[in-house]
Amino acid sequence: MSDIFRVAQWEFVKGIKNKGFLFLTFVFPIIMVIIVAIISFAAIRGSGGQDLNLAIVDETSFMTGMLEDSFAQYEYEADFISASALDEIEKVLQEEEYDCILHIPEDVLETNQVYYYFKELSSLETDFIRNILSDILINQRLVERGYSPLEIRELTANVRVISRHIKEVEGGGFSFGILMPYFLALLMILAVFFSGSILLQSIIKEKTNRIVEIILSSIPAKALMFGKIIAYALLSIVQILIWVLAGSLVILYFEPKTLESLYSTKTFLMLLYVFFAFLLVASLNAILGSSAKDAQSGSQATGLLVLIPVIPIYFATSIIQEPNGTISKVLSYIPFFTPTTMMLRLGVSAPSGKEILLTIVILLVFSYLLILLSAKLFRIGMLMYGKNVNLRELIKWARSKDY
Amino acid sequence: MSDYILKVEAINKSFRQHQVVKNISFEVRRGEILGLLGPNGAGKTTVIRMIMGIFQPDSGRIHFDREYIIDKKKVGYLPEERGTYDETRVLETIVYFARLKGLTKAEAVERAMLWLERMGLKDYARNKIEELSKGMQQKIQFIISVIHKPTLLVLDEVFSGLDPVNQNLFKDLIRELAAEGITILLSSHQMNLVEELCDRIFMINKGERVLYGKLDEIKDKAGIRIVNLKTRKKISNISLAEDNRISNLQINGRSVSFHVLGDYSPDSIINMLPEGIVIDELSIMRPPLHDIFVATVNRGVQ
Repeated sequence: MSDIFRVAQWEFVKGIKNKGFLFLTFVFPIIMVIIVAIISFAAIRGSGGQDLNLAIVDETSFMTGMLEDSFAQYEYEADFISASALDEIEKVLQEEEYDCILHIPEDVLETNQVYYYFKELSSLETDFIRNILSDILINQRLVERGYSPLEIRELTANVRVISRHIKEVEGGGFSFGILMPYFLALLMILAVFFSGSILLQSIIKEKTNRIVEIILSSIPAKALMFGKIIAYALLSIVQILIWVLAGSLVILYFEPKTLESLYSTKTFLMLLYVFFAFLLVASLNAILGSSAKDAQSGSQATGLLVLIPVIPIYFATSIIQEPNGTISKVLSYIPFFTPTTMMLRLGVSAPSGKEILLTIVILLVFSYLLILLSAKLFRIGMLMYGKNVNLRELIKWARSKDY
Repeated sequence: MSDYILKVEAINKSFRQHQVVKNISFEVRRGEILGLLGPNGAGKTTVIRMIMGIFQPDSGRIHFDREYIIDKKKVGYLPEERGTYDETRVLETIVYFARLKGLTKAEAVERAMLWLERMGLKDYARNKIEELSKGMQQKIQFIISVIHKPTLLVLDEVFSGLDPVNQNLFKDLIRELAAEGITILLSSHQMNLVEELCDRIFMINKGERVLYGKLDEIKDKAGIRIVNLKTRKKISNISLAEDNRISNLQINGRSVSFHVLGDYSPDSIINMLPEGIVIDELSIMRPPLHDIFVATVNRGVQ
């Protein structure tokens, strides 16, 4: 146990000081911040609503009051102006600094048409207004057909209940639920790719310069492999935490409310799954490192290994639509797919505690066995240098007693 | 307490169809320096790797101080093909390997500094290993193999690549370690150094044992004496009695040298010489290990 700890400590410190690791860890967030900033800026510019100065010409007798109520609900502001403005729309738009004018004709209930005048294409933001107007008009028509206010509220309320329902299950914003697993999966691919290749290089290097003989004459191969793999998994977690922290700072600046939902048990569980994903990919890297002749032939394959745990992303639509469906459940119990599948499921639903526990136990056992296997192959492969090893030989090694 | 630290019993090892170690048995006695000799490719390193537990023999047993499994914390190992980390610092690297052998951090740092001072590398403790010369790196590797005061020290080709000054330094260190009670298994190609250091030798060729025993006894068994003599006057020819036992006769001015088969005393050598020759110097030596090594390997080739 202390051997594992010592190796892990050494490898961790060595990894932290690695120039490539430092570059990726600190330059990447800066690039990410710039991208997020650009997207947020564009989003704010594009989302229109609050930024637009809207003027409304209401020729009906009933709309104004209801519009004001609805706008107040969404903290949206609009000026109601007189119908005479319509005669010289262009001039009003210019002089009054309105971005757009909404004209509600008197016969809107019959024609179902309103007019929207705007200065620039960027002011063309009609979805929000259409929804509000539709609500009001439907309401009005129902009143005219003799429905009681209570019935109407019930009918429209039903529509709203569904939208609230989705929010509750997610435990956070809708976008967070879907995006968080994708986001973590992306970080996972990046981090595992880089720390995985650092691990691979470190194994191949020790193998080619024969340090491994001194190490193996001091500690068992198992301790070396466990130490190395744990160190690199932790290294990746540190890297992701740095990124998440950097991301949090950006979110804190633009959208402080979202941050609360970021720091939750679910995020912790997702990170735990990410850690296991690392253990699995790192073990595969170690197997690769044991059998590769030199650094070059190793790094070609490492890119493919990273993709294995990401395969469930191809099933993302099914998993998100039916987080407790058959596909989701089956994928959850295939060790290599467990982390990503469970992350996606956690994003959109609340898997039972039993399932979470079971998948983590499966991952624990499977990672342990995989690291043992990598240690065994490593031990034999380490001493065969100067040649690449094919799959048949790997299997032969795995079966051999020379361990 | 057993009288051996390491006992190798009838070990065999094959790689694919090729048997590289054939039925090898020997023991390393407590406190001795045993020389493990053999030409390139004889199987020395394979034997050493099996002793170190890096791989297992196909059959046979290796006992370590009566235990069947080697206690990795009690052995020191300097492999033939040496590598170290290059981007890590000298002191932290030594400390890491010492910690893998079970030393505490404080012990490791203290001993590492003593050793660095002894090797004249104290000022390099904070340097990166890649900044050191090859000889300095070899010293670091030597420190790593002995820092935990092993019971058994295995040195594979310890002198290769060293300049004469450092060869002497390493020779002195090995003697000191032996005097402290550390048992040493030493493989080397430098026969003069083996001769100076080892109590007993074990020689393998093509995976098989060819010589094993005390250095003195092996030399006696070789059955050859090397005779060097200097005559008062220059001679161009010499006829020796019993010339069927003489070989390698060389005459160069006043110097005469030849090999004689069998055990001969100085008197009997003088009796072999023709009358009238005045001798100024005479030496009769047992052959150096180098000659025995070459003769043994060549015999194997035939």
